[in-house]
Amino acid sequence: MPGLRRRPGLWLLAALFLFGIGALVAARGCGASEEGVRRPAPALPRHLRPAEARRMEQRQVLPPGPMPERARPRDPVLSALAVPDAGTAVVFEANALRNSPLGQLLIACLDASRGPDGGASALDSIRELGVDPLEDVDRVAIGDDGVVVSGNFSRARWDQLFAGAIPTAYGTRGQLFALPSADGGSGPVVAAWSGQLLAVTPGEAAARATLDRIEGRLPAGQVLRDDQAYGDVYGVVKGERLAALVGPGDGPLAGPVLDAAKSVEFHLDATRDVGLVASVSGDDPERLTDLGKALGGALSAARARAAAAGRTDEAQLLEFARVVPGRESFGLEMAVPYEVLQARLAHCGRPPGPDGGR
Amino acid sequence: MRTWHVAADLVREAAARRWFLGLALALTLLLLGLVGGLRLEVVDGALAATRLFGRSLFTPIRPADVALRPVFVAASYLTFYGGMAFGLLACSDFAPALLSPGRIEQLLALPVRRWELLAGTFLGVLVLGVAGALYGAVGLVVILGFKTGAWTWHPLLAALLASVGFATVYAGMLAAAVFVRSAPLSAAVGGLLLLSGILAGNRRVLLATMSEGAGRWLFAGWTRIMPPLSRLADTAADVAAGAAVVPAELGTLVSECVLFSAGALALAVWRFEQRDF
Repeated sequence: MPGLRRRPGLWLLAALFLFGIGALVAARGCGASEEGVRRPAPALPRHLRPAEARRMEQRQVLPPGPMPERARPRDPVLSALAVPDAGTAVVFEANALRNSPLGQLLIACLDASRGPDGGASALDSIRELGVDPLEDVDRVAIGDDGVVVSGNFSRARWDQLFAGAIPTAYGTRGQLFALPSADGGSGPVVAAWSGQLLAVTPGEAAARATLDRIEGRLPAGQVLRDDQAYGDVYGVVKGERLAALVGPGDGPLAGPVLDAAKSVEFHLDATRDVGLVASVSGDDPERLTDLGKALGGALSAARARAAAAGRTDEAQLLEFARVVPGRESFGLEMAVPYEVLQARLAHCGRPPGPDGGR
Repeated sequence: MRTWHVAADLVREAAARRWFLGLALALTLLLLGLVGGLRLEVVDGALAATRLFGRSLFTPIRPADVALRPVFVAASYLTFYGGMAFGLLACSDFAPALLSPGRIEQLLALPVRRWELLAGTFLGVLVLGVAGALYGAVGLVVILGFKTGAWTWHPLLAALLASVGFATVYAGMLAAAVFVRSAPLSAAVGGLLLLSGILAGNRRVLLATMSEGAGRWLFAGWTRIMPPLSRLADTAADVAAGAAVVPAELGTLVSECVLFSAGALALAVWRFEQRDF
């Protein structure tokens, strides 16, 4: 450095040059890493959110006919599901799912599956009956007494939809359609209500009871409360139904699940990513704690196995899984980022943007 | 080589100071506290239960390495900003002491060039910063690694990034001390540079809130020269958590810091060469 010693002005020039280069690097380098572009964490449906509370209020209606004492507005779908001592209620927010990024990916898949000739799909056959499953259906729910579908069925052609069934008026706004079974005997009975709800039930008694609950003539049970109606898919599975779903042969955790869990409530959100929150409750806190630990360990081991086998996608998905311990229940949380879904379904057609039109 | 001798002298001087002894003691006590007070139950690689000094913490059950990420993120931010704050105070008088009457004449009488004196001082402080950050990070990784079986080197890299951030600020402090031999002023300049680095890391958001004019122009220019230290801190936290970091972006951030440090050092040497002692 003797040259610089003799000419100290060169140090100043060097300083200015270095500051200038630094500014240039900063100007050229700023982009994706600039502040405010971090990917948000997947949304997990842990409680009723304001938009869902508004949606819930909009769905509540007063029972028609003479006002019974202490009548309160209620959601017809949840009333239809609320069979006394019911063990299952699962609701799919079909319209919300259809408009979610996941729904758009699936619709792209469906469109692609038609093939290049654009032939008619099963959906087109239903559309010919006056019901567009992608536009007219709001919710699809599964309960102990069958399936409930809500939406706008004002254009439905019942005579074609339930060919051979003679409609019977019931209650204030209800109709019953008794469908013949394949062997010619009595089959399922469809209860239609007010052009906005269909309930497919195993028999006439169940269909009548469904309409009675909707119109307030029968007390409704509490399988799924209004404030539990959040997420895009939500529900409760209890007692024997849970045992029927989880058989002893369903892996090493089936036994502990059957011993400890008495009820599972779950909520799935597909607003952008797909997030799942399940709450497992039971009578024995110790067994629940052990089950939570075993489940957490199983998820961790599965992630380790996936990573060891080079299945990085699967390992990354399992990173989002966790068990949240509590005193009388524990929560299970999982998430699938939108980008993963997009990659998995990419072969089906061109996916939409992450906003998904929502 | 003479630069390293100067750096080694500075490290020896630091080792005798209460500030650094206190830091080493505090870090050691913290790590020993974790060794004795932290009980972790691991089931199939998942962190199933946590007890800190006998008190049960209700933490989610998840893979141990995933569960430890928030710990490493917190440690990374603490190392970055806490270490920076400590360094601003503890290292602010190294350069003024070097330039103090009597000592500087003695040093200049030695076969050491002026730029080597400054570079050695900078290097010595850098060594102190790296040593402190790595001591804490290695200790944390080793303790948690033994307790959970989840081993990671990411927090060590995050600690090195924190050292890069501190070196950037210290280069400015050193330059300030050469212009005005004052430890408080040197610390104040360090604080100002840290604040500027935080603003530079958020310049896009801040510029969007400013109306056109000379103030905005000056702010844009200043925050373009200043390395975005807050983004470096965020990136270090991402690295500590094992999150995917784009190497080119990390390289840009580190380059900005290195270029700024080199520029500040060159400015300091320019002023140092002009002064008579």
